[in-house]
Amino acid sequence: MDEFENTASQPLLNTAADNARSLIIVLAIMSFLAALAILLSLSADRLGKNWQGELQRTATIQLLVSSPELAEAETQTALKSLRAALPEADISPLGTVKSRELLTPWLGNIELPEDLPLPVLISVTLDSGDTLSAPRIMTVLREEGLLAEIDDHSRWSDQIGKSARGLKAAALTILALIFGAGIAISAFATQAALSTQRDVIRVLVQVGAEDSFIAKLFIRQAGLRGLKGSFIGAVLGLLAAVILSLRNPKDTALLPDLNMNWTDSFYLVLLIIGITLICSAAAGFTTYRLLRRERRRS
Amino acid sequence: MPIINPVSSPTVPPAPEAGAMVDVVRFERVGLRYGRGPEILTDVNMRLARGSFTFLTGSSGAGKSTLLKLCYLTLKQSRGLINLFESDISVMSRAEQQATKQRIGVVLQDFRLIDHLSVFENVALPLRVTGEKREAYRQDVMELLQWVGLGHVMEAMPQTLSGGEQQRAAIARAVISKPDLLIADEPTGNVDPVIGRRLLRLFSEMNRMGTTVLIATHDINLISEFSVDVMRIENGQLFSGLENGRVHG
Repeated sequence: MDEFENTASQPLLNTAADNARSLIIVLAIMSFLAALAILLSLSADRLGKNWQGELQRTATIQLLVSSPELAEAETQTALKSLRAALPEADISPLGTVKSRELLTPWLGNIELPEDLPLPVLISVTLDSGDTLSAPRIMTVLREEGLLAEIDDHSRWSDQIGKSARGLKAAALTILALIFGAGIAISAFATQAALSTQRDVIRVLVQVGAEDSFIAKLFIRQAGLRGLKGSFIGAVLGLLAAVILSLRNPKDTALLPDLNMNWTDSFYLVLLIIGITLICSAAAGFTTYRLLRRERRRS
Repeated sequence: MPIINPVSSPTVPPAPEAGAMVDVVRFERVGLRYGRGPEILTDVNMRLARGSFTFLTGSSGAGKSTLLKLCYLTLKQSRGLINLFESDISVMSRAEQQATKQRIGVVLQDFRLIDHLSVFENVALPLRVTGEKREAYRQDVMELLQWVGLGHVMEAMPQTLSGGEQQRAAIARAVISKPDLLIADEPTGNVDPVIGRRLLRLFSEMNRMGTTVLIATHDINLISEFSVDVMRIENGQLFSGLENGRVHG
């Protein structure tokens, strides 16, 4: 009798009865796509915030000089008053060369006449953390009797914000669809498993197993498959994102620069937990529902 | 004419609580039909007192297995009253029904062993579903398997066993949890006479310890060897004793 050394209980559900490998592969693919969606969304969000922050700290002031002869004097007055008002800021005139360069996208590489009247432009850049106040700058210049227009780049900043929000919404939609598909797949797989393991369930019911006992078997099985599939998918997704982030941005100019952060892997852990939980929950719900239906039939 | 079956015969040892005539199974005017078809069982009245040992006989297709299914809660009656362990099954909750099933050991003609579980695991199943720890039941299962002559095939898969060995494994599974009621449908159908008698001695031993036993069989010779209650089922109706009166009822 002592020869019987097997001390671990065998699994009550026949693991070879249904095609578990296919299910794990499908879950891995879904998790891979979900992981990419999460990482791209996080990266785009971070990138958008960086750009927005940079734009919100800079402004370009165009002095509307009263006459070309007074341009230099009015520029110096403006620089002096702005530096006094914003001592921490980097304030400098763009100069003729830079101003001419700004016209290139509009006029092309043509030789511009020397006497072409160019606007007087002043660049203002604040320290990180500070935010530019356009009305304040206008007030400072008005007090000196100067007329100016200010471009605080809010138009671009708003558009970047909108794009980032759009990307986040798209990523959340993809995640919702993937989670929905996960529920459907798990429910379908459980239904198939209940069908192939009908004999086992019949015996379990006969020896007095409660619905909760049988449901737990399927919950554990589905959870384990969800965990395996989502883990494989998330790891592959992370690897793909790392490879993308290592590429030279100039090679793929159309793709956004992936700005990976290791804290993003926390969201991948949440993804794995989420997929494991929805697989388990769908399996449990399906098992209870089908056992009840089976009982009503008998 | 259908009758109320008398309780245990004098040859069967008394139930543990002597004097207390508790019915483990009680049927009153029970009828069963599938859908709108004719009644398969009609006005069945039956009482199995605690500690009784009863054979149920009848020709093939007479309704023996159907009657047993009502006893082990796989079928529901269409009409009438069924009490198990003094509780009306029609008002039992699902949990109460499953708890009641845990008190019933069932041996079926087709064994219903789970193919991917070893003989040991199959026999331990009733204990496993109640949440018992493996360490707690391991020794009991091994001893029972030795007793039924399956000690050498504990780790074997059911499909590698002979019909008789499978039958013994199914019986071991039915009795491992020391059920209050043991129901067996043709338990000796696939075993040789020697093993058959040995299995019946196991049932008899369990009965001596207080288990109520109900065995369906068409083996008249087997019944003749035991001086116990006999019920006969014919055309869906239950009668007491054998038709030729060889065994009292």
